[in-house]
Amino acid sequence: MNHFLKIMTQPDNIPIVGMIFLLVFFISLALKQALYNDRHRVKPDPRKEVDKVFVFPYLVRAEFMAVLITMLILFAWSLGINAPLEEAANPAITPNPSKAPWYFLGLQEMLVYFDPWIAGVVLPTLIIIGLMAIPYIDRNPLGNGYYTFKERKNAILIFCFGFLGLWVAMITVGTFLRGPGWNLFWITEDWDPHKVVALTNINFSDLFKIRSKTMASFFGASVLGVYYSLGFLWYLILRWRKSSLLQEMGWMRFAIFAFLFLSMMGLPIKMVLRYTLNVKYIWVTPWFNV
Amino acid sequence: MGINEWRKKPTEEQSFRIPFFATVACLILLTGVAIWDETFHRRPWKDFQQAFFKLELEKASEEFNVEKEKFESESVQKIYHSLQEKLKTLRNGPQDPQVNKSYVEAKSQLTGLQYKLEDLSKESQFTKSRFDAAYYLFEKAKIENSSNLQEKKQKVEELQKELDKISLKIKEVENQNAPLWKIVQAHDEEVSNTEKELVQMTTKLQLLEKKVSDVKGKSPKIEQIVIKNLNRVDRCQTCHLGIDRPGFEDPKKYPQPFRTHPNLDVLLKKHPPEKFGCTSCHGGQGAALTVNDAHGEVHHWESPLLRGKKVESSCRKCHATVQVPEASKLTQGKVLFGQLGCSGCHLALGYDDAKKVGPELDRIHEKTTLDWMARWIKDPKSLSPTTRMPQFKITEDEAKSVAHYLASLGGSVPMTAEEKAVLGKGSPEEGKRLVKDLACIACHKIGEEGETFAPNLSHVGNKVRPEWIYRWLKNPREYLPHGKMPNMRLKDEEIAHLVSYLTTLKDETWGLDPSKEESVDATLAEKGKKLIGTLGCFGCHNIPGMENRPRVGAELTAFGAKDLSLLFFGYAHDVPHTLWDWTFNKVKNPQIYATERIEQKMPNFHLSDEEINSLVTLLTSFKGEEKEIPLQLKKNLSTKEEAIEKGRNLVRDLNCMGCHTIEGKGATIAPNLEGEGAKVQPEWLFSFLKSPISIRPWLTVRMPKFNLSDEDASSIVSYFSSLSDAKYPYEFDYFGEVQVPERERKAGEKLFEMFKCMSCHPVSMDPSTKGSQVVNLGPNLGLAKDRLRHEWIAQWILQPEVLQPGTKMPTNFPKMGDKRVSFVPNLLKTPQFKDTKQYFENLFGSELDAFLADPLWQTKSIRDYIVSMNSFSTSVTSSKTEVSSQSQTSPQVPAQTQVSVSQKAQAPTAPSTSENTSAKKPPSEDGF
Repeated sequence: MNHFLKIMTQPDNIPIVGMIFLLVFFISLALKQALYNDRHRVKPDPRKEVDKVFVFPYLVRAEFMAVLITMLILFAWSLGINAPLEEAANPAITPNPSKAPWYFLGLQEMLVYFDPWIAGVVLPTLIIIGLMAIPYIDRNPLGNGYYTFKERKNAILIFCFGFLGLWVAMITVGTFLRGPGWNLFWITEDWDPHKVVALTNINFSDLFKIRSKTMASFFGASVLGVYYSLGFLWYLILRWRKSSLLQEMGWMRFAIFAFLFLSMMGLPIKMVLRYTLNVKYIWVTPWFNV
Repeated sequence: MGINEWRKKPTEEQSFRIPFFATVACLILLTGVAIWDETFHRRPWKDFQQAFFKLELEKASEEFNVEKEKFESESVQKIYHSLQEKLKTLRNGPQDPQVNKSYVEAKSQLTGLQYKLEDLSKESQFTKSRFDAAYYLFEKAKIENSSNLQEKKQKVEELQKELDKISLKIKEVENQNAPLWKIVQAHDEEVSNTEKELVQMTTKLQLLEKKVSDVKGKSPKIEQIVIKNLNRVDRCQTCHLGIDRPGFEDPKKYPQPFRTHPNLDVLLKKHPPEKFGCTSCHGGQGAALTVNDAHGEVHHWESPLLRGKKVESSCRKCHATVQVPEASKLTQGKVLFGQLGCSGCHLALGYDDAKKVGPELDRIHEKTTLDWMARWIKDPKSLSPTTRMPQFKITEDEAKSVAHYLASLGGSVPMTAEEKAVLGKGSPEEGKRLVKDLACIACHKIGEEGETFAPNLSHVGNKVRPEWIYRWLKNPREYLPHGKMPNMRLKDEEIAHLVSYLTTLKDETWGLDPSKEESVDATLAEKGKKLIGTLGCFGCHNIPGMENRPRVGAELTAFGAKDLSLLFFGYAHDVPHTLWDWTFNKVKNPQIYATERIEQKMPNFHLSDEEINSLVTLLTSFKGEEKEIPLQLKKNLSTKEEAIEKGRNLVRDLNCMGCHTIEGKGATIAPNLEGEGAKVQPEWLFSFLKSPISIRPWLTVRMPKFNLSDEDASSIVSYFSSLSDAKYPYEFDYFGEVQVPERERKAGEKLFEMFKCMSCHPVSMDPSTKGSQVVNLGPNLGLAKDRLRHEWIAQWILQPEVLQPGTKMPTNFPKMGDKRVSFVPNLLKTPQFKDTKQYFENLFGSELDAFLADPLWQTKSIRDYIVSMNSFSTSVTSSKTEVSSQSQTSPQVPAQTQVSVSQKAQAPTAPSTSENTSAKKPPSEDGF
């Protein structure tokens, strides 16, 4: 535990600790507002209605105060804590653990479950494309200019799962729980560079005793195919239930959404498979592995 | 107003006054903190500098006060005041009124003339400048072919004339000056001398006063050295201000960091900081300016300050191949590393072609028994406490299997009947005496006596078969072609005595009998072979079939640069996590880091802590950075230094100091070899080393024949020559055109008789002559010509007690004051030597007095006689026999050495005209 406190208070990790507090603050603020709004949506709050003021000077002065306080914090921070330096770079001895900058630790964490071409190239690209696609996919006009949860339940939950549950959580794990050898250390453990963890992984096809490599490859491809065709099934179900959502979106938007959603869910599914069944790859080919 | 009240107000009415004011106040406060932090808190070196300036000021003031006190003492003041008084009266002019009058008159006239002279020189300057300008115009006109060239020329000439006129005038005035000067000169000089004396008395005081005020005016600043080719920026002297200044040595008065560098003259003068920096030797973080950072004793700094003796590990960077006398630990470490044969198992830069330190084992079974081997391998120190063989962590059975494999390598060769007969005749008493006479204990330990250089012989009777000792002493090369044991040049009977004595050196209770017959078990041997492979016995011993196996240990070339995370500590909790401690404990207890899975095969050398520390010093110096040091900063040996280094190592390897004294170290069993290089001829020494002869037959100890290659022998020869700063290769005085001068030779012969040299020295190598008779006091002079450097002989006769204190050679030319005197002139005055005197008169004529007064001339004559005596058999009084080739000590002597003077003497030659000898010796009028 002492060791964990030491890592928490390292100058390197100050931004991440700060990030956690800021996230908690802003999310709870937003939720509080959203819940308040949801409760009073039917009968508008008279107090809120009248409470409108000019941007200048009333908003600007508050922002100016925020700027001053931020400056003060940065000033004190830079005075009080020296920039953390490590040993001189030595190509013969790489530091252990070698960690990416904190904002990329989520990507580095993904490397545990996927090959670099997926974790480092395909998934980040999909993340960016997906974020860009949100305004085009999301046709819900509600929630513009005010906080709400009830009116955007699905959107908020999916986003929070991706951002908090995957991205932020993985940065936190990568920072505080990944030690030498990128091994997972619980907060009570010391970071022992000699720690040995039993890690023997097999391919998904091996679980079904498929020996032939070609067969295994086809098997993997069909498993992935089945996974992504879940999106089609989902479409059929929605159509059968005559969902208004589907009518609003149209099949094209829904296809894109389903693809992005299933890709995102691929990560936690792979994590679960890794930790429960020691699965290394789902689909093995001579050229790439997924 | 509470915060809740404030929040309840409409936005327009909320005032930001207080938070705004508070934030701005904080910002201003932080700015102040930043300035304080930047000036003081982050610059602790300023405090150190102030403290040092204070000490410096105290020191300077003290010096100043001492000087002032000295100046203010009564005696000095008296002189000072009297000088002042003197100057006062002198300023009034000479005391004699008559002289005074003319002095004053001359002085005033001089002043007038001086003014005149000044005016004239000013005029001259103006004219000269006009002349130069006119000349320029003339030159220009000439180049441009101008029409008014003539006009310009005229102008120049006019000005030239004017100048001449002025200089004439100046000369006139100066002529008037001269007599007046003479009148005032003497007095003026006295005045100026007195003034100078007064100034001199206060100069030192004024300098010290200036020093004090300089120190007072100092302000703190960073002292920095930038060394480009070492890629270093060192600011150590920012706090260590007294490091390169003598006078700050006292640890009580000057605490660190202000003290002077220890051994300033050697360490810092030879390695000036501005060229080598500080961190290149001491480690630490040169650019840092706070104590812990600068000393590098912080996280992530890979080369922290090397405290205490550890700093010696840095010496090897530049002094890899040489011994550094100041680095005793490192030197000891280097010696140990070589002696223990570490490079047999661990590859290390510079040691990759080192010889194996253990004996060849291919015929070990001829020497000893399986029992002995097994016990030895299990625990060598129990059989010989001084052995360097380390102890492996193996079981008794394993040791036995190794012994069986070694025994399987070769059988014994039966002795001939003849040899057996000789061996039977040995007597232990004779042997014991011989062991003493031969000085075996110079290398071997027997009982309590002796050195540990070679194997301990205290229990040799338990170990070695008599036949083996016999063969070994007869020719050590037969068993160990590369061994160090020299051939003692023993007769067969002597060997038999020795064998019978050595076989008695045993402890019966050990139950080890070398004469035991045994058979080798093949399955055990197979097991042993495998074990040898894992233990790496072949790292030290030559084992047939295993010559090309790779080293079993880890490479050490970059050991000192090893990252701490690469070291495995196993279960050793109490070992501090530093490279030094890891290495120390590893050497002390090689199995300390072993675990169930990780085997540690390194054997235990049972070294003392001190020895381990010196080994660790060496090991941590293996940083693999030798190549990064620029060549001009490394110690580059001159040919001479290289010869000394090489020879020094050889002499140590062969244990020459077991018998001889060399460079102030060693024993006195055999002749002292100080100054040997100046004494003997290199060619002779070479052949002597390769094949020794007896020079002093009365000594029982004899020079053995070492296993020297031609290269090693000549290394030793050039080592001795270089030590004595003697010419190498040697050139004869009498070589080529120059001969022994007949006159000196004849004089020398007479002196040789007068000094009765032959009462101690034999003079002929031919045993049939009377002159060869051994008188057991001095070496045979028949050897001198080829053995000794000719210039040395004369010096030796002149001053033997200086060249070799304690020698038996009498001082024939005692020292009177700082000159040597000869008693020959006095002797010649006695009637007894009347004829001799006549003889000398005939030889030298008018030069006789000079000859008699010059001891060196006399000793040179004796030398001339000695080097030529075997060639001029007719002139040798005692020996009429023709000198045979016996004087040529050995067949290996290069032809050059054998150029006999007699051969040369028969050739018709010109008188000695060579500059070389005529400069050194009195010229000979009638060369032969």
